Amino acid sequence: MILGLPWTTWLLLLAAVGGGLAIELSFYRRERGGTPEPRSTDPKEHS
Amino acid sequence: MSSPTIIAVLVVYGLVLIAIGLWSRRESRNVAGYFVAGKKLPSWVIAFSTNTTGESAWLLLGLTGMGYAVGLHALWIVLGEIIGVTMSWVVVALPFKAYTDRYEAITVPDYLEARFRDTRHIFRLLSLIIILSMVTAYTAAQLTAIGKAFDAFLATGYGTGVIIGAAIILYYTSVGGFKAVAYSDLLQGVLMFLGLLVLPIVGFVAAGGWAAVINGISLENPALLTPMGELGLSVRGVISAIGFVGIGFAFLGAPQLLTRFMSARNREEIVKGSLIAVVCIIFFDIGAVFAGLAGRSLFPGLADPETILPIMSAELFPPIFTGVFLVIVLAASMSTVDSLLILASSAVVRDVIQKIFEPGLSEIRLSLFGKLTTVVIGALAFALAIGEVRMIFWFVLFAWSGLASAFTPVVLCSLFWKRTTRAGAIAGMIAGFLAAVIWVVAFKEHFYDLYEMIPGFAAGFAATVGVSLVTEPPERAAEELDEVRATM
Repeated sequence: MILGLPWTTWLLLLAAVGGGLAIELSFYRRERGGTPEPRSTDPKEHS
Repeated sequence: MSSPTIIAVLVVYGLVLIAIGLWSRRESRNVAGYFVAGKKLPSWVIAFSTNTTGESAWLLLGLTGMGYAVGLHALWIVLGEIIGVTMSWVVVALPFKAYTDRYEAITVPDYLEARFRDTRHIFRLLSLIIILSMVTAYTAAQLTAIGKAFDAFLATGYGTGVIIGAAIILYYTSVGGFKAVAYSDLLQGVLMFLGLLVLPIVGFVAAGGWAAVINGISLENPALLTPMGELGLSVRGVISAIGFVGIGFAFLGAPQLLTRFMSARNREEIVKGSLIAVVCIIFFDIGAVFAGLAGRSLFPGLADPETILPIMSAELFPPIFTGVFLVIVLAASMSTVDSLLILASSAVVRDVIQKIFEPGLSEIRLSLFGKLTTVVIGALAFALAIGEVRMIFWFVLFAWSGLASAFTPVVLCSLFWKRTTRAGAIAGMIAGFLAAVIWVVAFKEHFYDLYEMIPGFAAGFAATVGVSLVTEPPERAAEELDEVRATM
């Protein structure tokens, strides 16, 4: 029990809020941290 | 309860909505302006508009009622909605925006027709049937809720309440178009956000604090504080949790929500909007469930758990805030109705009249048709609501899930799987929609009330993938998908 609630309830709450925020913040940082260079279609650049 | 105070709050709210309609009217004079606000909307507007369109009065009355009735088992709904909203912005929004800008699409059928080179307009006609049937019923049900809310709070009589609500919605939606809808959604969303922020805090304080609420409920029924609730770790409990999670996955592909991504000014606004939308939905859902929990501690034994929000607003707040909470409930309904009306109008005017029958009509005339269609569909829904036609409630059972099941599997496959074919997508739309409807009618009660969106999505994906594997994808579709990805 944590603050009167079972740990499984906290886990569900954490999965909902933490999961959503973690995915979102990772996306936000990636997109706002600078647009990645468009992927080159030139195979030489990947060698 | 002080009626003059509540009426004053309502009048101010109605006037603001009318002013938004007038302010937006200039942009509603061409087709793209009327249906997607010229694709110029900023992050705050698309973020709040997406959440308020997805959340009807069900959020305020239904989800608080869930928190009251099933306790923290309702957190499965919160999990599904937060993950659904997050994934819709992180995974769907940018490629969908890139594709629809490339095709100059302003409706989801526009996108599907271009993506699958559908020269026979099958997607448009199929979408028209699905959207019109679902939207008319859903709108009628929301108007019914508005009429009942007016009558409950102000004793206006049910019919008068429906008339007032419908008149205001039809005015600002038809005059201001999508811009008015989106900005009014922002206002309505902010009201809903504040309401669901304040209500649980006041509820917990009034009940004596966190420990008092949790201890009180623990003594009454400790299962209400566990994830599986009273059903426990049983088949019914697990199916209930899966169904609750499934509710949120409609955010990935319901057409009324995808329209918001199309209407964004650019991809930068979508990225900024994603953070706003995710934080907003967290507050919406957590606030609603915990408000219901506090309500159970304060007002145990209610015959109808969905009355907990009106009861808390009347008992815990001064009259002016009771009026504000009525406005918030109305706002939740209105923000859904206006978006659905624009969606249905676009299915008729853009997808059928302009793209199939009368491509030569002027922009101003088409936008006028859009306004007229909005009013006609609204009037039809009004007639169903005022006549209290029982059939509409049968349709509403699967309005949200039917729209999502028809479009989501197909849209997701079209965005991420190169092999998706036109025949596969058509089969997926039909199978997803019919599976959701047939499940409600014939199977749901025999399978522990499994939520119909689960079989709807399963059938939609299975049909799209299965038929796509035995048919040929459109010419250059694979290269096109690579080009879209390269721009992201």
